[in-house]
Amino acid sequence: MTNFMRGQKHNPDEQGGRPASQAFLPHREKIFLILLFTGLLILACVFYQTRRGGAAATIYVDSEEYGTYPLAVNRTITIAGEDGAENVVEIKDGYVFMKSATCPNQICVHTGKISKEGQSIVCLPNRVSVYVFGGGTADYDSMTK
Amino acid sequence: MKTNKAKQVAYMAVFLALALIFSYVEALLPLPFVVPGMKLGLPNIVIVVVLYLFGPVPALVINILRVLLVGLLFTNVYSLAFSLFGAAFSFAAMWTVWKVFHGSPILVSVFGGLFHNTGQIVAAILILQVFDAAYYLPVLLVAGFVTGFVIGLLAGLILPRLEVLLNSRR
Repeated sequence: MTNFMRGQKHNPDEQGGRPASQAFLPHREKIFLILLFTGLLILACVFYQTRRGGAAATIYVDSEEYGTYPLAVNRTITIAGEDGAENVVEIKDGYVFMKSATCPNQICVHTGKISKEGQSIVCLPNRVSVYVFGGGTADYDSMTK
Repeated sequence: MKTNKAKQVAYMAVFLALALIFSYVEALLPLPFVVPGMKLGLPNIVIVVVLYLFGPVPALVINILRVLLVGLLFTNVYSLAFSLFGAAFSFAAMWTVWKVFHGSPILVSVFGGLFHNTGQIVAAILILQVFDAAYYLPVLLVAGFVTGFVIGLLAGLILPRLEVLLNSRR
């Protein structure tokens, strides 16, 4: 029963649960997993390296647009929701971040500063979300500098 | 695993309770590297173990009950919908790898992790109506792979020991 490290072949005809005492990690799975992980890493690197800087941030409340603000202008936006819920979004030096929120998990606050096109901050409990969109000019500027 | 009905019910109750506790512990531990929808997937240890020891139906039932109970006890309806999507995607993937490819617990768990996070993104797109949520997919896939691998490793270590234990107490 404890020979799980030995690569014993298991019988696919067995009814119900499979025997646990099969190969711990067969060789072909090892190769496959290494290839898969490398592929995912390359995908992630390529995806995030080619992202453009955003131009503006749009805030949504209950999936309805609350307002759109350019990232070039520093400002603080306070969104008051139902039952005393409050989210404070700050735009500073081209970044946007959730300064404070009344939600219990604080995931939105911990998301930190975002500035790239397609990035977002989501506060699920208060149903407030911030999205950065529109690159183009910002990317062009940073490349020609 | 050959056990009588009463024994099986008792085992299922123990595994469901364990999955619930893992969900709770996971909710208490916020990850330092926070991306929306990222989780350790501790309850998945239980799901993988049950899938291998008792088959797909008990694993599915425990998974559904766990998500519903956690959703009702600790979170709100929105989080429940997100969890359901994640759980459904991940279970479908794990079942496929287990049944069709006869994968090891590690392979099953890795695919569970990958598809859990894909399900979360799909939920974000469907519920919040934002296609930009796909921005997080690559990093969530890498994270899902790593957490899935660790969880699968643990499940693979637990499985033979638990099998011996369950057989000896017959």
